Amino acid sequence: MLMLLRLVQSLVRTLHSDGTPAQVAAGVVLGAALGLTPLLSPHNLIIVSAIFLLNVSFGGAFLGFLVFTPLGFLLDPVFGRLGAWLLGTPSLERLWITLYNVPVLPFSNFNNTIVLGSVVGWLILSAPIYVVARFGVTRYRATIGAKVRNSKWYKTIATSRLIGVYRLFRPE
Amino acid sequence: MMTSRRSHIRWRALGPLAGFLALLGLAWALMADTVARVSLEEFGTQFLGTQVEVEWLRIHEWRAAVELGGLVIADPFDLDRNLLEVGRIEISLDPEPLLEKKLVIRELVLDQVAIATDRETPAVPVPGGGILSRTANTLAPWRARLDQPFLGFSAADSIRELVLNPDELVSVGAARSLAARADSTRVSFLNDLALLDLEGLVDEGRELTTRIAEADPAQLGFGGTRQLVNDAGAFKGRLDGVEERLVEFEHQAESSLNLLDAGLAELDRARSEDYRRVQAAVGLPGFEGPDIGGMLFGHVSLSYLERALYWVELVRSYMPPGLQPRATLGPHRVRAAGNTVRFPKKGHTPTFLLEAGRLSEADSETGQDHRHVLRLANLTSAPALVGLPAEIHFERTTSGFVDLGLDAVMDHTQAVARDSLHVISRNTALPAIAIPGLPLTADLGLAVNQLHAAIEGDRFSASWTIEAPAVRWIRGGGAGEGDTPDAPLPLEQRIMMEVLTGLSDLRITAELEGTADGLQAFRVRSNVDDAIASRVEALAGDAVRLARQRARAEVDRLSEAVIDTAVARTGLAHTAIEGTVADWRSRLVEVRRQLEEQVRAKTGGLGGMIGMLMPIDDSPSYSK
Repeated sequence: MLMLLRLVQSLVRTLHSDGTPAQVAAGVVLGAALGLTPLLSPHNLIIVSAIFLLNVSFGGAFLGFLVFTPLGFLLDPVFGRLGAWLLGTPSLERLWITLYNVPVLPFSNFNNTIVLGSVVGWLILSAPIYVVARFGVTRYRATIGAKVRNSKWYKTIATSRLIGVYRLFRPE
Repeated sequence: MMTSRRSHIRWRALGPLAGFLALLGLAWALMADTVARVSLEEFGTQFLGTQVEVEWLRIHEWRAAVELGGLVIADPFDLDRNLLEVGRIEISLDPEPLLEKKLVIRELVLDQVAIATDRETPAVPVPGGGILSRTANTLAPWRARLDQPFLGFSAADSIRELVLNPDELVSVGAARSLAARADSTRVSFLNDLALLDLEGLVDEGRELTTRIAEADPAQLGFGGTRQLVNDAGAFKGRLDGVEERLVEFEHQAESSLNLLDAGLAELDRARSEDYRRVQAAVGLPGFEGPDIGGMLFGHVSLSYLERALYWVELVRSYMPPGLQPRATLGPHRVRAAGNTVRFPKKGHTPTFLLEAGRLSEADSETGQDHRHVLRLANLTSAPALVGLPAEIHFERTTSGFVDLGLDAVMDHTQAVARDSLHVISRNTALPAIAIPGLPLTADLGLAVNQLHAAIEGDRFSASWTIEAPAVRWIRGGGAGEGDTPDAPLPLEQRIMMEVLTGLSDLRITAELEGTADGLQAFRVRSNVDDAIASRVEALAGDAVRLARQRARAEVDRLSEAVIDTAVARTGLAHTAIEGTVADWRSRLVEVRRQLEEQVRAKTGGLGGMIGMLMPIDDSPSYSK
């Protein structure tokens, strides 16, 4: 519950002031990777590390994860077909054979149709997600952002003492 | 976009990230054994298509070994029993392939092995049925055939009430189709013939003949005579062309008529099929030995042979020949599992390889009653990479006597897979066999039970034999002989009981053959078949024969009119086509004869020469 509250605070503050629209959008893109691809996959360790280490919006990543997780489930059949097509494409077979037989890489589960399809799907979608998220945050701040900032519930959340923890991950 | 003033790296998050990774590491250290155990249970259950349980599992990372205990594999065919229980297993791994996520087991040592034990709680069926559902699907049509009531002599009476729908009779459908084809063939031929306008041609021929007959060469002069001869020649040319077309039509019609004749022959087969189906529907048996063997022991044979089929499916699913990429169901997770594709590469290790497996010394030697021997070699997911056939050998010796043995060799190193399986149990008490349709159970006592299976490429075959030298026949559902009050039985059942209970030994042989597409043949023979066949034929045959006659009469009654129509229409097609062709041919011949006769009469046999010497026109004046 505590963690959830922190994340909500992070999300609310993200939309209003923390980070540039580009940082928020980059965070959304990385969060979308967690949502679109199977969460407990080794590549997501890299994504989580990137969210930690890169100067992107943590709240944006959380927002991306929230929005794209249900989409990931919905798109599983598409990802499955995309992955099956990629793994079954004769011209790529040598690549897969090589990757499958080198150390460590097989742990990425790239040879699973859902994993490969969803990662490739995320890579394809990342540019549109970035553009839409950046535009959306800019518009939000320019239009209804001020009203929301002055609302009672926003102030309640934003002034919570727990926000101190969040500051650690606030974009510079 | 981030401005250049901002750093792209959030250095102060390094600490929390390290903490997060440390937490993950700690979780792995605490949970790895459990995760591996659960994964092994899931994989084993999915792989074998039956519940696999592991009580505990320990990973020894530093010496690349795994220990596990309390392995229980449920019998896929009997959820109340276990196929195998192993108290402890020690697995020595080759560490290097682990980096490629490949499992190479150098040695597998099993301890405290028990076979075919009872379960305290029934096993959980595998969702979707796994391999078992595939074998069940393969056998389903054959089981359905065996589900006919055995020797239903009561059918002799029920046939009176048999209500057949003519539309369900194969012969009726075939006859209707044949009649339609016969009509279509006849009409089509006559329409094609009409396009030749033979009537018009004959009329024109007659007219030309008359014209020549009435012509006076002296009046016509040389030119007129020549013109007339040319007209006659042109007409004969047309006549030749039409006759050629007529021959073509005749050949085509002949092919169609042959097909109709074949359809007539098919009607006989369809009617035989109807007889068989109707007899089956009312439970009338054949009296041939194999029929009786199938009806008496078909179900029990299939239940044993299903185990051979299970092995065939297992081998086919998980030990593919060659090095082609192979997809299997992905890991179980909340998201869709997808398929996981393996990409074996020449010169590399396979994804899974069990180099050698055996029983522990302690387990082999201890125990006064039983001594076990187990050898496993080269079990792998990519046999072509290993280059050696996989082998399984198991035997159990009881009091110095080998009472249970299993040998399997799976050679998938070449493009064509060759596998064999042989299981034998001697002096083993087998489950009693309930005789279908009779209140009788065969208590087999100590019997020899053998199961063979072989695969070569796409084809497989399997056989099951049982030899019970001291069979005991029990009346009723498992009650001891004489325990059940002698309820009055119908005559036919008494005959069967008499024959069966008179036998002291029982030998059954069942065989099946098939391909990857399905089962193609299933045969059952037993030593009681002929005895029963001859007795039943002699004693109860009249009633069944009568019932058969009634069933056939009903089929005949419903199909006769339709079949007669089809035969008549086919005959009509023959008559119409052959008669019309003959008629037109003779008329054309007659026209040609009369024309030639008149030309000869008028030109004195010089008509051809006259036409050649003085051609005046490229096209004949005679034209349609």
